Amino acid sequence: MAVVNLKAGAITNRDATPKVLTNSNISRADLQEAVATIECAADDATGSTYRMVSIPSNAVINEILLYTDILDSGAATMAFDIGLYHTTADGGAVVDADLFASAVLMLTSAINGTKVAHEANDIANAEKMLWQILALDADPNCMYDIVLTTTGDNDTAGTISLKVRYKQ
Amino acid sequence: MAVVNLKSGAITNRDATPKVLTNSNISRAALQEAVGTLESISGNDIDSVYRFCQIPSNARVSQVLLYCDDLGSTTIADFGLHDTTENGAAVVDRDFFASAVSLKDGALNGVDITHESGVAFEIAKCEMMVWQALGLAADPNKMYDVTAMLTAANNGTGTISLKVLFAQ
Repeated sequence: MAVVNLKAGAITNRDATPKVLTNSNISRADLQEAVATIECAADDATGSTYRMVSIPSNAVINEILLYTDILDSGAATMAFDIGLYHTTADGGAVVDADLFASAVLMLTSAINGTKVAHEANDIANAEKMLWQILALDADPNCMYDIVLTTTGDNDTAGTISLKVRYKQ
Repeated sequence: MAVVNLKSGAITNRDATPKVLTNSNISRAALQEAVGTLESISGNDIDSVYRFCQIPSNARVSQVLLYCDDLGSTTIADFGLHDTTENGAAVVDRDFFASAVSLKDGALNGVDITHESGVAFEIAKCEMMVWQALGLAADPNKMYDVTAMLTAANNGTGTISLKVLFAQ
């Protein structure tokens, strides 16, 4: 065993000689938020997509808050991934369907602001911009849509809302 | 069952031809926070009003977080909106955010009560500004106080704090 004194990247940068600048989206960032709401139908099948918000590829995600009505009658089949797609203008294709959360199950109670930013996304990615999490070589300087993709059939109509907080 | 591809309002606007502008308080909103704390006293009766902070009528409320000590054995409160003192101080919607929240069953640590009441500010209204959620025909261009109003007498003494995150 050993007593250690660890430093995060920004602290290491600050304490270096000479000091190293840290991207402001990590150390003193103003939070921005995108919010969206949609109404899903009772017969939406597996593979349906709900496009919620658009965020830039250099965003550092702070939090994603999920709110839903009761969206399952008791059979517990309704679930969805939360991830990234290209925007419609960029072709609309899937980038990583469950980057943030995987098979989030809708239960027979409403969801009230559950944090899903790191349900599937490793917390070690907390300082990274989206393009870095996606392991791209460089920032593509584009927008991505945050999309819910159903992984189970829906049997109850209702509201789904998402609040995405991020920094640039 | 059918596979569907739904879009939120902002995504629909972006994909329209011609594009439709979306209010920046929805899509790239800078978050602001108002915070208020007060000391409640045992003996405060039903319909007592605790005023925490003020927000503008064109605020799009992102989150209302409630913190409090364990307040006795009877204390219950609505959380909503009043006119400011300058505007007459009358109740606007006493349970706009939350209805009959128990403050007597243990301390609360940042409970999300934004959409708790599920009526005036249900999750389907999360993109709306306060005046829209209130059902007004136009923005009154004024401030509202965010308040707690007791629905059962307070028989505990202690701190109540509220953090209101919003965008304009």
